[in-house]
Amino acid sequence: MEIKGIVRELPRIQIREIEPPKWLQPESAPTESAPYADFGAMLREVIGQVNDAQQHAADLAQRFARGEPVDEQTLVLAMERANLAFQLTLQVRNKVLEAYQEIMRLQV
Amino acid sequence: MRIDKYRTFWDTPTLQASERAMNRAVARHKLLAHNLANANTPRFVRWDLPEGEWTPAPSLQRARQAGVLPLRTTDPRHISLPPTAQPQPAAPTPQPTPMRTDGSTIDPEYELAQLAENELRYAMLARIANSQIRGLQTAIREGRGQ
Amino acid sequence: MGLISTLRASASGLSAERLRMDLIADNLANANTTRTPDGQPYRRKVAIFEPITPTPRMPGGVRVVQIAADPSPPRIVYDPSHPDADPNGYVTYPNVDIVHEMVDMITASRAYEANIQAFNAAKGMFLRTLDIGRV
Repeated sequence: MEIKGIVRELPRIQIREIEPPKWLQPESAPTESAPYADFGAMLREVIGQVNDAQQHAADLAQRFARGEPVDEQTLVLAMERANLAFQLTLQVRNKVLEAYQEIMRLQV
Repeated sequence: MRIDKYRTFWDTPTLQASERAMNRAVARHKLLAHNLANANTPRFVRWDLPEGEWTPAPSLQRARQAGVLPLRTTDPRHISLPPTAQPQPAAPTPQPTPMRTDGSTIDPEYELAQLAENELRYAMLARIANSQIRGLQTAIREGRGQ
Repeated sequence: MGLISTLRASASGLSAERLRMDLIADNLANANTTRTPDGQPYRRKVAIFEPITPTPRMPGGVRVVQIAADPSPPRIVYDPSHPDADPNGYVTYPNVDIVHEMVDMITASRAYEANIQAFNAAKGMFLRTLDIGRV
């Protein structure tokens, strides 16, 4: 790279936005959010997030299986997160079931 | 208003940070591999990611700088960046280095050193991510069995 | 595809350097060939490398666009007793410089090894990724 050559060409260089290459995923922006209105709202949002996590992982896995360009670490982490979400749902279900059974056992 | 450091209940800032750093490490490996494949291509200029943080922390400050949130302006004539702009990821840039006689700028030893550092860093990040996930698993199961 | 596709990029480097070494071997073997089947003295062969533009499926690499004949002038040696001497007694030897070829061979070999390192690094990183979350 010759400096003189670059300096000569400077007036002709047009500034244009550098678009990030498609294979570099942009970072997700931090979000600001209000506190949850009530427990029901939180539950609904969490269930939605669980579903999203599962969908996202399934989508990435299918794309990888089809041979599309998917980053392996993104896929593995998405699958692990989906797994965690699923386990959380399972535990919540168990707890709710336990609570229900305990209530049913109460002598009235 | 609070900033969500956690996107969901099964995520931690460390996991997010390590994922971003892993993405960066993979992007860097692609460039280094490309450089090495062209070690003997005349007039080839090496590529690399620009110097920068491996994992910038999410914060209001940084979000404003990146243009994700609208800038606070005190005067209507001040420019405010559009709030829909995405934070720019590190774009690979050509790095001019001293030339060899055949016009290639690749120094294979340097590339190999960077490659090794990148691989080790990635291994560490994978371990960090792994321990975060196992920690979350234990927390969800409350330390009891599978 | 990420890491898996970089294996292809590194492999392209391996192929290109391998081809280069083949050409060097050819050049060395024919360093003194004054007459090839087409009647002319052997001309030094050179591989023209060109970088592959990175895409998601192929994140770079190198491609051999052409195996060209070196246009530099041949060696002329005065030797009237040689069967291939021209009417003035000069023999045209190939434009192959042994020392130059040896240096090229070393750089090609070094680049080949370096690409193997890149290949192994990608494989290593990928295998570590698989272990995330596994008990």
